Amino acid sequence: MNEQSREIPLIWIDADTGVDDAAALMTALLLEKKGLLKLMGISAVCGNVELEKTFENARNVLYMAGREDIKVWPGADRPRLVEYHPAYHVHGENGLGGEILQESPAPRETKPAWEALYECAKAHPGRLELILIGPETNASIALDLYPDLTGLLKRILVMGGAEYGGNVTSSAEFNIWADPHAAQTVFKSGVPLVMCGLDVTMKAFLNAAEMKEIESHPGHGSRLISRASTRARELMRASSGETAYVVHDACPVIYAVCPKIFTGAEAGVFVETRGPLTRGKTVSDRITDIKFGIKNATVVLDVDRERFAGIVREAIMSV
Amino acid sequence: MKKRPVILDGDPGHDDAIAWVFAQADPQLDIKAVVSVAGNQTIVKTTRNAHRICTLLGIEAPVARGASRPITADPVTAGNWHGESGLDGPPMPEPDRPLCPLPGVELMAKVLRESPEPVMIIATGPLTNVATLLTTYPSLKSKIARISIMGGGVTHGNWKPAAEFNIFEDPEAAWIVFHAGLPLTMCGLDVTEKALITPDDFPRILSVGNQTARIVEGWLQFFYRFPMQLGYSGAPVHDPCAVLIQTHPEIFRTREMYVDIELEGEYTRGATVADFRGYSDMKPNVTVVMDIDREKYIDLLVEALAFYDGREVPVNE
Repeated sequence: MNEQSREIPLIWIDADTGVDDAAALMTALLLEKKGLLKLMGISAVCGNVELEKTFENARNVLYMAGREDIKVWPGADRPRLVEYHPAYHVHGENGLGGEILQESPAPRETKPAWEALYECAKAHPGRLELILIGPETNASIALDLYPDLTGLLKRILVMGGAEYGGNVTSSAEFNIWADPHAAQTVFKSGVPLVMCGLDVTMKAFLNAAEMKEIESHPGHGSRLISRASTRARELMRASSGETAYVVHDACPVIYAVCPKIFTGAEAGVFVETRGPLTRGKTVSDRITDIKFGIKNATVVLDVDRERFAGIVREAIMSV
Repeated sequence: MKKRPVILDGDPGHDDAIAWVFAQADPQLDIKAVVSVAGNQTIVKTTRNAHRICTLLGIEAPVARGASRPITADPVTAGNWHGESGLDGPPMPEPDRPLCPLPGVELMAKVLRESPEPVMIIATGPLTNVATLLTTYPSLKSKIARISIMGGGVTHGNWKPAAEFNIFEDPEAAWIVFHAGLPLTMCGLDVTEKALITPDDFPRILSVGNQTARIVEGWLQFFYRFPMQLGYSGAPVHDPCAVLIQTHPEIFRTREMYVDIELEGEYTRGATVADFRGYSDMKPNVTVVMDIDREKYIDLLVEALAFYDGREVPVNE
């Protein structure tokens, strides 16, 4: 994390908070404290759980971290075309595995997320980096309503998709599957993209020893993550036998300031919206003979897990 | 050794031809019929190629012309890989006998009906003939021991980013075959792109010294041209995998999976969608071949070519 010399990245996070979203927010706050980025705003979207919950969860996580000064804007309460399906089995019905956080006293913003995002982008042309760690509904609405947004954003970093495989179906990852049409709008937008899909995020985990350390740490962040992540960890154990907590959503946040701990490759990537078996698949041309003829994304494929985990662990334990 | 009866169904094609080199040389296999299909080139060209390959290799089974187009899809050809004739490269012999007058599917049905034991179908082109056979003569399913195909890919495609040529050419046919409930082996790009024959291997192949070895080396010289432009370190000689997985399973790694065929996707039509993590309740329907010992593959090719020592047929210069 030795990159202070360059212009500090201005970051907007769009989240469906969510347990790993909460960890990602804490990570962003740590990186901000270290002067590595500036968090310009957070928007909420329905995804892991309903919008009312993701909105409150984001607000309350910020309050828990003493950062209720950062504004949270309410976004879309449903996908653009497809039916909404929450992921209670991973995140619990309240999105935080049933953990109840203290309610943030900050006033509730009412301006729609896409409007707030656009205003921020317009105030900082060419500098704002949009990080999407939920379904891409808000971003797609913003791109549709404000055509000049494409030229205003520096880039979009996504947790979503996979070159190979999926976690909802064998072809699709949750965030893309939950609103494939929105994702296709983002992937076709022309804004430079960084895709942190399952290819890399499944390698971005806290191992058993690291989780143990967090479990025995008395801080608020540690208590939240160690308790709220039990469902996700059980699912992981059942599917792969691994005792680990995968922190998908922290990947694009850390990539934004420490790209050197990741490896990736340029590719053409688009989203399947029609195929009944493959809806929500991010179709990449990286290793195929026939190419799309455009490279619209950096597909992130690997991460230095130790360094990733070090940052996330520190972030959680400093809240 | 008791031989296993097989039907060869393909769209030759250089790699189909090399697959048949392996099949004819293998003492375990008894070729009962050869059927062409439109794919790498038009049906007229693939049939002529099939006919000439059988003459070159001394395959005496009847050769019949199969489907001239996919069931519903628009036909495409792969001239960029296989050339104008579908088998460009060294001169080949003219067919030494007439084609079987039966349509390809009828010849397949006849072989199945007359065989006292179930027959294996080795399909190295689009699955049009096999699908039509299954839907036309469902009662003959019990006479099919296994269908061993080259096609698809669990992790990626080639003709489209998510689809491999043989499946993309006729996805509906593939759907019928994958849903037939028959033992099915799929050699997709996962394994076949590892079945590379590199220019370093060419001299060893040539040094076998007989006519077939010289022609195979000539086919490889031609077949490597296009993949070389794409950045491959050798020619991915896909189709022989579908033969060798049945005769030399020890050089492969396989995995049982449920695999379905996407028919409607904008980007994914023709994708072989594999349930590698057990998301669906469906039982595995396919033995998916995932890896090959490349060095042993080359050894087996050299061994197979030695079978043709002493065979020399006049070619049409």
